[in-house]
Amino acid sequence: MLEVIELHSHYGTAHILQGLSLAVPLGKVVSVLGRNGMGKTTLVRSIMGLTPPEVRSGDVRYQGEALRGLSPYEIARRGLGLVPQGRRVFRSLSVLENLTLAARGPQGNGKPAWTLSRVFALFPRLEERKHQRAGTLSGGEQQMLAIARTLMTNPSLLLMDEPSEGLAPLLVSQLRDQILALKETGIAILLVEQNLGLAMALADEVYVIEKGMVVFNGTPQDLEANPELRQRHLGVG
Amino acid sequence: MPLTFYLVQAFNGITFGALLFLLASGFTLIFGLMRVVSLTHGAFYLLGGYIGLTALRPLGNFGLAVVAGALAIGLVGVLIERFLLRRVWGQPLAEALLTFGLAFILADAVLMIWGGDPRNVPIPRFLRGSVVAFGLFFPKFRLFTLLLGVGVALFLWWLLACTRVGRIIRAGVDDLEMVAALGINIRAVFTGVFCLGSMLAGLAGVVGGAFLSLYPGADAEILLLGLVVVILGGLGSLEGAVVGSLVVGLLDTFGKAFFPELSYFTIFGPMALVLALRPRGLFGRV
Repeated sequence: MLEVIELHSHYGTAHILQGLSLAVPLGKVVSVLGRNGMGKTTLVRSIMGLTPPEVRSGDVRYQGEALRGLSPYEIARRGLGLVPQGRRVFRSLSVLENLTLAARGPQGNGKPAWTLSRVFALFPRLEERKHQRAGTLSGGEQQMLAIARTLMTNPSLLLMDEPSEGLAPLLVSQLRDQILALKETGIAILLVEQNLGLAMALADEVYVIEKGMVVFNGTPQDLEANPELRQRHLGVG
Repeated sequence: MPLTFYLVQAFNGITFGALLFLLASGFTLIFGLMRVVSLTHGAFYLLGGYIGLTALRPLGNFGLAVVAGALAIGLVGVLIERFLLRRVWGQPLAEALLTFGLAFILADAVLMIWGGDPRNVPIPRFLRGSVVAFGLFFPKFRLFTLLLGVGVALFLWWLLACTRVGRIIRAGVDDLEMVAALGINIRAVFTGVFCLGSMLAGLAGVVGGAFLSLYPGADAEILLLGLVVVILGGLGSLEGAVVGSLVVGLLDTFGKAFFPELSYFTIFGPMALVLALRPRGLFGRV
């Protein structure tokens, strides 16, 4: 349903994405792995229409429609939901206000709509904290809020950028269970990660990128079976 | 000095603060969301005042003249935002130069149309004279300005705290890009906020035309005071605009009463102090 075709993105004079292509099929979790500075966040921003970077060539298609040139809000309204790197919750708003700010009803994608009660069932902690200012939440709670806030827009595809960044191992495993629960609902997820364990546990399909290009594409099992590749591109044995 | 002197000066300071708030609230709202320091705000005030003055005769009603000034400047604001500011959005220097240049153009246009003699918007009959209390005279028009300022403050507080648009504005102050990425057309919100801020400047102009008077140069004077208000209070903060307006209104009034030859110092001294010790202002976040 999401196709990235030969995308070239630039930050000023730096050519970050160099003809990157990938696809996220309906209802699947696709992980993009790569070390820092390899273009993971640039990829997410380019898909979402956020500038910088500047997309100079290539295409992003979603359910057959070209997204390139649309504004971020138009892209979001077509069903893409961004869970950004660094959470970026609205710090001065309460948890409840963060959730209701961008809430959109059912989007006609055939799935039951996300509501406050469904979101609170997935993240009970947020219900306990619903009147608290988002800026006072812990890192793990802010991550839950960042995901929940996006779910309230009822996206059919989630773009998650390094959700495990800065979280303690216990919280990462909790996050894994929560994303698994999301996967059960049939939502498609493009998961950009540095945490190999998390990506491997969740993904149906893995891409490894290096210097803005895809150097591996296959199942987690294929990557598991290829220690040399993991060592070279991800720095883990 | 007798106590009554202080009471009268405090009343004058607070009511002048209310007039400043009408101007500064829109200014700070626009900056908080859009990060645009709109230097046309003073010109909007003056133009709004003259439009109110001209509209008063055919409309025959001060209230309607205030509405006319506000609506006209709201429209001017929308046109400037959509067709000019939008082209340079995100480039602070270009924005400052554009709004500064527009301020000159509007000021010249005003001079051409209404001439250089000071003009007053006549105070409506029912607001002339004073209310007498504790043996002191409180001019009715100043009381009216105070009530208007309180009313606008309450309206803005309600808008920001209790409405969806207000949530979007506050979220935009925190993280504009993320608001857009959640599917909200932030450009439309920008236009709305710029329109609202401009309307408040136009409204302040008509009231100011009766409170003070209208003359070439009044635009720059009021803009300067408005800038001091938001620097003191903190750019982008409504509470800051309330407190900053009162402080500047009082400082200006007492300064002129005690040290008339130092009247600029009594305002800019405290501003410099705040800039040095707390650059984001009393309530500001940036």
